[in-house]
Amino acid sequence: MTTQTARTTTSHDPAARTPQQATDEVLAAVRDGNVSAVVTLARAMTTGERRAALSGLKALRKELRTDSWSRRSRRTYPALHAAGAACHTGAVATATWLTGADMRWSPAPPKLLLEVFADRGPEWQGEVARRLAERPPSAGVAYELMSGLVRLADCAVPTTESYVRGWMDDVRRHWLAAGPRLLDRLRSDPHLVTMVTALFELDDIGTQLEWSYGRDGTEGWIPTLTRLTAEGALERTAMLDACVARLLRGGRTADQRAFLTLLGKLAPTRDEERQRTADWTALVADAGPTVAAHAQAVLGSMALDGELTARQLAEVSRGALFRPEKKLVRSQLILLQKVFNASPELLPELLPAVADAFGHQDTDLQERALKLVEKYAAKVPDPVREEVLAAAEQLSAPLRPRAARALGGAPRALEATDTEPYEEFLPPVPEPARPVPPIGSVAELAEEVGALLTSSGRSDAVSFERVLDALVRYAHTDREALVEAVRPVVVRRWWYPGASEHGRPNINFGVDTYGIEVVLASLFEVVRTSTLHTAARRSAQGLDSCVHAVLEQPRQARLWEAAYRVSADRPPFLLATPTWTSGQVDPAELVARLDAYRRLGVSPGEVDFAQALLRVRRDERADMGTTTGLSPEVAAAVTAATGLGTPEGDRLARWLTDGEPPAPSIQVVTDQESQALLVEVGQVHTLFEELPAVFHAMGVPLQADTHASRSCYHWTVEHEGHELLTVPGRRELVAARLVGLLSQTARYNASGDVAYLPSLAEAPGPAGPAVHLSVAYGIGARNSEERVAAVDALLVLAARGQLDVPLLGGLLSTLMLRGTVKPSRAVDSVRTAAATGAYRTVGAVLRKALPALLAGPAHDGKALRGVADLLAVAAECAERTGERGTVAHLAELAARSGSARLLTQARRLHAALGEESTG
Amino acid sequence: MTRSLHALAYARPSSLESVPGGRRLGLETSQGATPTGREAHPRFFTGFLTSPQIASAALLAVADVAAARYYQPQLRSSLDPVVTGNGDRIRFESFSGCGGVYARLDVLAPGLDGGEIGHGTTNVDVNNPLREALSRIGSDDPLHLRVGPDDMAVTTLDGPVVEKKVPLPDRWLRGFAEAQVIAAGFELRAELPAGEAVRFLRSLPKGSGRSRPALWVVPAGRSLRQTTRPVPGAVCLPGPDRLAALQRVLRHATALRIYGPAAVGEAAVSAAWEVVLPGMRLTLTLSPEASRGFSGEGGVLEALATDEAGEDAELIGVLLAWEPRIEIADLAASSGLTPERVRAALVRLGTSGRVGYDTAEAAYFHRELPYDAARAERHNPRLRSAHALVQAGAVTLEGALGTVTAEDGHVHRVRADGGRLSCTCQWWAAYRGGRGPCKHALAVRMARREVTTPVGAGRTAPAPAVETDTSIR
Repeated sequence: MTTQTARTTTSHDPAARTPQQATDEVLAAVRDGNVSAVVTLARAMTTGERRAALSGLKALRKELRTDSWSRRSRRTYPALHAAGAACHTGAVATATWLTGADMRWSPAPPKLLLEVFADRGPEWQGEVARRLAERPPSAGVAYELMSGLVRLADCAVPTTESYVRGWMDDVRRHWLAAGPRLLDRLRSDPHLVTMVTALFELDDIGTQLEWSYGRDGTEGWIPTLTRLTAEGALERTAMLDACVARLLRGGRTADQRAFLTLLGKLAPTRDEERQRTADWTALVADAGPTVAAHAQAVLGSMALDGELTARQLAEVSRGALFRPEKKLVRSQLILLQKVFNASPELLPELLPAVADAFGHQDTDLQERALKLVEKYAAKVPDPVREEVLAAAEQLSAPLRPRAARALGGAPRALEATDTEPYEEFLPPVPEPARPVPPIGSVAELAEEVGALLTSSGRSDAVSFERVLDALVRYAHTDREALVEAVRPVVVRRWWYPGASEHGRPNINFGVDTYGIEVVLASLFEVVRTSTLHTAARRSAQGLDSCVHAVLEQPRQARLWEAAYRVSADRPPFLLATPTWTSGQVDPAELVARLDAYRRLGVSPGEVDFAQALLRVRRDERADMGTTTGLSPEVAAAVTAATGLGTPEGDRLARWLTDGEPPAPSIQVVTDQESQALLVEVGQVHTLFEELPAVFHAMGVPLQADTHASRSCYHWTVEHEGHELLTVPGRRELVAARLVGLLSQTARYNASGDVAYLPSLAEAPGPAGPAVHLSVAYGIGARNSEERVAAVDALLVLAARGQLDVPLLGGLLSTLMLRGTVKPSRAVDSVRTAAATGAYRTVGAVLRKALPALLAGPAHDGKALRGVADLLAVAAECAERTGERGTVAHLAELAARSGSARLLTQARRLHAALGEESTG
Repeated sequence: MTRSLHALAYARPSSLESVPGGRRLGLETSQGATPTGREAHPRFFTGFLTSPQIASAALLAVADVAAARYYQPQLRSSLDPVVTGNGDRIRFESFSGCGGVYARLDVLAPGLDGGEIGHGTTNVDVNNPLREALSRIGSDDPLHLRVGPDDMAVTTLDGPVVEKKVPLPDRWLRGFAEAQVIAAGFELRAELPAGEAVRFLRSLPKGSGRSRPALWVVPAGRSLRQTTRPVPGAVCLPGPDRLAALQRVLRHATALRIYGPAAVGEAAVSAAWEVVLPGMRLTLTLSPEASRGFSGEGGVLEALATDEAGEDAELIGVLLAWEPRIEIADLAASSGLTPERVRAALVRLGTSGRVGYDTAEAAYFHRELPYDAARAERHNPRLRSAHALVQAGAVTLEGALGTVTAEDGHVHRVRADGGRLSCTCQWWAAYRGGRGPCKHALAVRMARREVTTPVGAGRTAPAPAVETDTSIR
């Protein structure tokens, strides 16, 4: 019927044209981008003509896809959208066309589409509406189109996410367009109840619901829904149920907030609250803190009015007391106290629930729960007391005897844990470093090179050295095989011939090594030997003067040297390749390498040999300048080195005999400009002066003001450990230079730098102020994962017996007092460290850190936030280890009366350390 | 990404009803496999739960994982949990939408009271009202559980009334199956008492750890400590926020057990976290990275690249009858295969979703995922690419070295080193074998096998059991 009416409205005479003409007309209108003409034409077409036009439209669609963002395409799309929708006859096909991804950004206006669809049957319209609504909201189907079809079809309204969100947006649009007030708009909505019911099923809809408008937020979803409920347009019980169900289902805090607000506005009566007792109980145990607090308040007032059975209240209490949030636990304990006072007959059933707070992390709350038990223990029968007693082993050590006293007798279980001797648990001392197996074949080397290139330099320093050495090694023995094997992994590098138009290896490799790539480029002969030679010579001089450059320039110089030599005289291998993962080289191994060089008549590379000397393991006990007192291993190496009869052999022998020079003066200083703690290093013996210029800067004194250099482009510490490999065994020199960068993790919340701390702690050599200051900064790092790295380092130092407790304690307190390290972060670090079983170590550090932090509050100053928590950790350490001692200013604080956490924890520590409490 | 729609049909929604003297939890089942063949709505249990509140919380945890995406959370996904009747226990399994977390609740005999436990596997309906009702269950409400239709409903059934159509991406399906095979390499690494478990799980960093490196934990005293590196004895904890589902049952936990692979290198690996509950166990298995599902792990590709395990798998598959723990020795005896071949066949069955792995029992159990997992297995992209390379004649063999020439002329060398294949391609360079062999290594393996034992393409018919028997004797 509809096609007939449509046809009469147009001026075309259907008899006078062929289907082809109709198609052409439509296509022309589409190409013109004339949507209304398309609509008019389409409505005049017969079903057959529409079908015939489809193939042309599909072809056009394909054509537009090749060029979909041009202005012409954008103009054509709306018309195409409308034409295709009109010409498809099946509901499924129409819906598919309408929601095509390419149509998404320039659809036809819904109003016109609805005109096109007006003549289809209601079943068809309903089916299209349903299918459109099933698309996800990201498909961007216009709500007007969906709702228009629903209106035409007069069908059941879809409740899919797309449709409901569309409905909400539509309502809000009316609201913004200064239309009728939302209330009126909704009152007249025929689908109000269905839509509101469906709304509660949508995830993350809360933030939208909170949207408010008008003065004092009187216009908005929440007030409107409240009013509609009051008027009876929405059913009250259903609304209350939906809100509570939503809270039970959980979700993000922001999402839950809206439903909690709505629930508050609906103001459930006591009866309504009572009907939902099980819901509140579940919320107290499992919901987020805000919702749980609300549910707790509801149940609390019911309990005080005697509307909960003892069993119900016990269940609520168990749920609340297990929670980590102090506030919820405290409220529940207060409530229980009130209930106990009012109805002592409930005690036998409720007192065991109180014991659930015994395991709480906060000892103040443990004590609070214990006090409650102490007060009422006498009023419950023996079996109940025993039940509570069984839970008392969760209490912290000093509270346990009190629990035993209150609950009758000193039970064996509680005694046993007290008398067990404390044992400190530290991680195993890292093995002295394992030998590194060399790479076995060119095929294996190719894979290793591939891995190194894929990791874009972020592989550990020892693996890097291993690959570098193997490249030199195979370049010496079988360069052709090496090149062939490695070729597959480098053909796509920017410098590979023909791989990139922009690569200019000859220039680029003259100014940067790009890590291992300079050696590869040399092997593949894409960079001139003279370029490499110049770069090698220049870099051996060491140009950059910032404090960090000195740690990486020797590596760069050595890479250029190696790159030059694999093309020039092809040495058999490198001298400085570590024999241990610590980066150190065995003296005997180095002698053997020099011997091989001698036999082949190859001269050692200047930088490579210097690096080998810095890495060779010397005898720490050596007397300066004499072979007496050397270990047999080193003494043998000295003899063998002298026996080589080469200058390098003699040089090595002298180097080994000299022994390690006295350490330079290293001290922590305050940078005048930033007030940060930094490290100054005095003149380092003549150690580095004998080496190529690139190493000299390492021996130059390091001043506080040289930490920040104008030319410094270093933002973060590389944590692959290359720095530590420059001077293995002398990690203070490395840490002193990197601590400025590291301090940024605590000072400016930068991230990433702390990761090198565990390697620093495991590295050989003495640990002094620079290492300890690094760890102290790490303890105050912003991210908890990063603090874990500092905890690792702390524990490793302690396990190796290298932790200077007074030094670290002092540094920590200074950093905290200056505000560089936030006590809350330090608390988290030391608590984590202690919880691993290192209570003695952590306790000792804290006892050294606390005096300076307590000096202020002891003289009526304000304590830093978080000091109370530090006291708590220190107290737990003392309680567990049973160690005694004194902490300056602690006694004054402990003697002071008051219930502030600072004071209660001070008293606890004071008692644990065995100073007689005056209180 | 290949995906298909999976249709679930239930006789009615699962629900919790209050009846005089307690509550009745009716979990409705969809079509599933049983020892007597496929059934529209199989029934596995009718009886009581001994710890109703804890069982409800644990069921919710499984449902949480099914509805969760721990990576790119804006994309939604939800599939109903899978239930298996194993004769002496009921297992509920789910797999997160991101394909990185596998959850399983094992309700053991002590957790159930009365009623026989059936055999078979299917989906159970989980809906919002049910979830809310389960949250509300208190500790002292007796709870009657029914898995499958009740007697009255069976007689009055008149076509399914709850239909769900859910997209089923291939990689999700592969991941679900492969998580089992990965877990088969785990062993117990740490066990914590309840108090320490609570303390430890609460100390984990909150919020999504997407950009953060994997965390490692190492047993220290009675507890665990976090560390930044895989020190000896460490277990990987990739994306700690993904353990969130455990919070629901934390206060009922009696212990926490952690399982992980024995050998740990530098790279992040997966691990299983098991909360011990009265009469139940809830286990979460995490993929090595939040952004990386189980499906790409490729731990089983080498086995799939050949047909020999396939034939054994068909034989073993016939012998399985929903055993709660599969005894390899028994299977070897009844099949006539060596234990090694049975083990390989089980890996094969695992990847097609036909066995699961229970780390607590250190044994496989029989269950048939109610999806066409075999399809996903056949369509493994890496395997398919390898086949294509072999067919295109891209592989040349010379001694221990294989050379694969890609279509663009790019050459990859595959090296055999003590049975392990390594390659020069970028993918292998990035993972160093941590995610199984690359397509080039697989292609070389296939090519090698073709050289030694020419086997026709495609699957051959299953070997008759009798024949295998005689060949062994």
